[in-house]
Amino acid sequence: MGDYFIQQVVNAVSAGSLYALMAVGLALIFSILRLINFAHGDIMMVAAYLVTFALFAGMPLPAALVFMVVGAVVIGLLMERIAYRPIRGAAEVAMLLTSFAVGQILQNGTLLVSRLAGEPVQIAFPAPDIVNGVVAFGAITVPKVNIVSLVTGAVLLTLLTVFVTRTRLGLSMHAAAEDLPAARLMGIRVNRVVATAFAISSGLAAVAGFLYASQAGQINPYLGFTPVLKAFIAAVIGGFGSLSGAVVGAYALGILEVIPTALSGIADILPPGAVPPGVHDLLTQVFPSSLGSYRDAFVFVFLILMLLFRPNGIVGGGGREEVP
Amino acid sequence: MLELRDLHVFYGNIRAVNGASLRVETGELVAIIGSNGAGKSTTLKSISGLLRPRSGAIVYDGRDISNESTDRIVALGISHCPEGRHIFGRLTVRENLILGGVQRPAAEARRDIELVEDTFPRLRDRMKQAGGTLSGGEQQMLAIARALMSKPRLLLLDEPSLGLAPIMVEHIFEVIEGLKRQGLTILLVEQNVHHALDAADRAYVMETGRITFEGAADSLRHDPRIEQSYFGL
Amino acid sequence: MSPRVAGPLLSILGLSVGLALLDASGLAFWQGLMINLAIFTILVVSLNLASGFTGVFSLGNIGFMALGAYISAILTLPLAVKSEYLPDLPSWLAGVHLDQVVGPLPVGWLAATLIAGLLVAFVALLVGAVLMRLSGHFVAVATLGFLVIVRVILFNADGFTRGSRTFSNVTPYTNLWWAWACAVLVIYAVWRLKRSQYGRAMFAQRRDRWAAQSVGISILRPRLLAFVIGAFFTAIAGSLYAHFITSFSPTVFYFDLTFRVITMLVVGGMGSVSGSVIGSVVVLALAEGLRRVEDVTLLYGLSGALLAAFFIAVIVFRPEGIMGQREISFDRLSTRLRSLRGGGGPEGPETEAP
Ligand SMILES: Nc1ncnc2c1ncn2[C@@H]1O[C@H](COP(=O)(O)OP(=O)(O)O)[C@@H](O)[C@H]1O
Ligand SMILES: [Mg+2]
Repeated sequence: MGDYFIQQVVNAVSAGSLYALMAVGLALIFSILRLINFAHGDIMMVAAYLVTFALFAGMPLPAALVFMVVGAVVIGLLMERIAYRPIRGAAEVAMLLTSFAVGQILQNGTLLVSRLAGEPVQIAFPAPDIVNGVVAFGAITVPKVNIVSLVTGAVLLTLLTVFVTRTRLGLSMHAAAEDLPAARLMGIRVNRVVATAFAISSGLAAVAGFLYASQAGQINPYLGFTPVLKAFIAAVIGGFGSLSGAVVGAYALGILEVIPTALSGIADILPPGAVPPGVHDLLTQVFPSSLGSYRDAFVFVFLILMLLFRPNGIVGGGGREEVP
Repeated sequence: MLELRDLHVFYGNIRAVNGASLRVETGELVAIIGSNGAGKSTTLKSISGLLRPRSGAIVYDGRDISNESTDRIVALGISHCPEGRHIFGRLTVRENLILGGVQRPAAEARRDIELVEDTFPRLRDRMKQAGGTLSGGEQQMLAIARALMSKPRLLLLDEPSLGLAPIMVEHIFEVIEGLKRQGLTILLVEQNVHHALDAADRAYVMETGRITFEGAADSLRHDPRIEQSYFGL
Repeated sequence: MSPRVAGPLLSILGLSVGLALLDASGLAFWQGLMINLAIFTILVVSLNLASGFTGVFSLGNIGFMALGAYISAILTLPLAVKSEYLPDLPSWLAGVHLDQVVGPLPVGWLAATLIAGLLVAFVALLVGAVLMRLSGHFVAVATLGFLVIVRVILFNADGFTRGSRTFSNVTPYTNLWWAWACAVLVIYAVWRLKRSQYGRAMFAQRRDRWAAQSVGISILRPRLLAFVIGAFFTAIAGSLYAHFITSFSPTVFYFDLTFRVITMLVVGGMGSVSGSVIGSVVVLALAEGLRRVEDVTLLYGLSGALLAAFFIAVIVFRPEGIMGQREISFDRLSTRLRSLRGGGGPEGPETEAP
């Protein structure tokens, strides 16, 4: 019983770390450009492919990881330069749609390359030992990848915090996000700041991609779609555009997501006789075991409620753009 | 040092500056006065490269800078302290100042922060405070201090007295005159005509995108037409 | 007859002759393509109504299409098939079989399509009453959330949809004539709507929501109206699709299709009904052509990538699309033709401002 909940908490926190790595990148770009970069999930997907191909080619793990991050950063920079810079400052929806198109290009491009390399659409991810298997802590077992996610998340987010608060480039990023014209008047090179933001966000997405693929065990060109939506939800929960908010939102989402799964099993894990049979039946009915499969629907309902009632996030104030 | 020739600036189809010409000589304090919406801020934004003029020239030190990017213009020695101050409210006072000197070597800029503290003693105790928590007058001082961090040769000041208490206005103008005495060239946009003309060597009057009067500050102060339009009552 | 009446009538006549020839020709591939075009046209015109007219970008409309497809497919399934194929249907639904045909008219299917449209419109009313309050990209993401929710439900409601398994045995009622009859009706309805006071209210709140409010135009009402009507038509497209393709699964109704429809909309011009038709033709032709290239070169993914690149190019270089908010005007077209034949008449583009 207690173990069951600890297990769920560990799942929640490790999922939260993954979402945090994604959501921070999304929030970083959004804060400066007001662009919801949906291609973010596809950068993550491309990174998973890069590391897969690198490992297939026999590269040692560290080299493969470096190759993955560098590759993802380069693609992120190209994407910014080619697709996003020409429409900087355009209508929000135009930017959003462009990011969908960029995502389509990355997906189809990956499909193309992977087919040319003679691979099927779905590839088994060659997860290295460090993220493969489980660790047992007494009665509970935790997948290694969850622990790695947790630690990596903590380390990278700390580094990012140091970067944005302690370096001039980081401060410039903050300034550009808060007041772009004023930032330009300081002599800040906005193009450089934006490029840095894309580099950081793509690098984080790459790491998230590696962890996500290790968890999923398989990769395909479309795997980025759901994570980027989740990251978006995390960012919204945290008040879009705030980095710390995105992290908070990501862990909140991790917890939120295990709730249906946790509840669906609740009737079964209660020790027999702990509750009257009537209550037991009620629990089974209200929280059927199929509840877990509605998880995504559940979080999106939550997203819509958030957008309606707390668009500034759980930390920010209430109120929204009013429509009578 | 700076010369605008027949400047035309648009926001989409809206014409904001319609053939303005003016000059600023080295060491001068030149004021642009004029009512709301005359195109004063737009003129400054064109000089600092935030806006691209549709036609006309902006000549600085003998070269046309009207197509340069803002960061290049800052590097050339023009600093623009915008209307409404535009402090980075969530960054600290120190961080605001660091950003003001973002193009200069870090160590040098850090040393200059101390110099700034001498000019603006009120900022010294507030270094670690978020910019947004300062009073209006303090924010204005921070905005000027931040603009000075890039070591400009020409300072563009847009309505530094806007919305400040009278005592604060006096203080800001003392600072401005102090900067002028140190040899800084200043182009000042003001609606506070009295103070502006007191501080300035020369002044331009701007109306609906054009320069309508120009002359020595003293002569403008006594011009009946100016008196009528801007001193009111 | 004035060109304003003669133009559309002539177009419909031309279309009918073309369809009759195509029908007689027996060219199955081209017939299929034309049915696809009709379905896409309905989807794009409906999305234009819901998003182009109002500026409220909805990414959830393919969810409405999916609901329309499944509802109509379930309703029309013959009893014999149904009991075996969907054994877990609740009894009140298990006995329904709208498979009646009277003479040449598949009345059961038509009724099922109408029911699907109305049910989906009702869902849209509930969803829209909540979501149309949002704006900008948030409404886009929230409606995308709706799409995900629909998909999760379709996957999990095994008893109704067979879950992730293919839903087949759908009766192939859709043909060239039904598809294009529906398309023409939808085009006509939306075109009329654009010129009505309701349409003007939709555009008015898009141009300037604060101004619209100050002159007393509600913002929610026109948005919701557009959303609901758009959903109704989209569900009809879903039914046409279901009874054309005859077997499908929830994966069809997802982001790729959403993006395809958006591409057509943006290429044609958000706010222009004729633009939607043109956009559908252009993008479908392009996609089909590229697919051929793909089949020959075996470079799978090429067409998707190139189409997306084309889309970006349109957004960067011609964000208003081919038509912007303008419509083809038969008045001007005829003047132009007459002047070409030697008559006077003012020269001008064959378009008119909305
Ligand atoms: N961002 C903008 N978009 C459109 N018009 C603007 C914008 N900013 C200023 N204007 C218009 O340009 C004209 C000049 O404005 P501005 O330069 O700010 O005047 P001033 O600083 O003299 O008060 C005004 O008519 C104003 O309405
Ligand atoms: Mg001004």
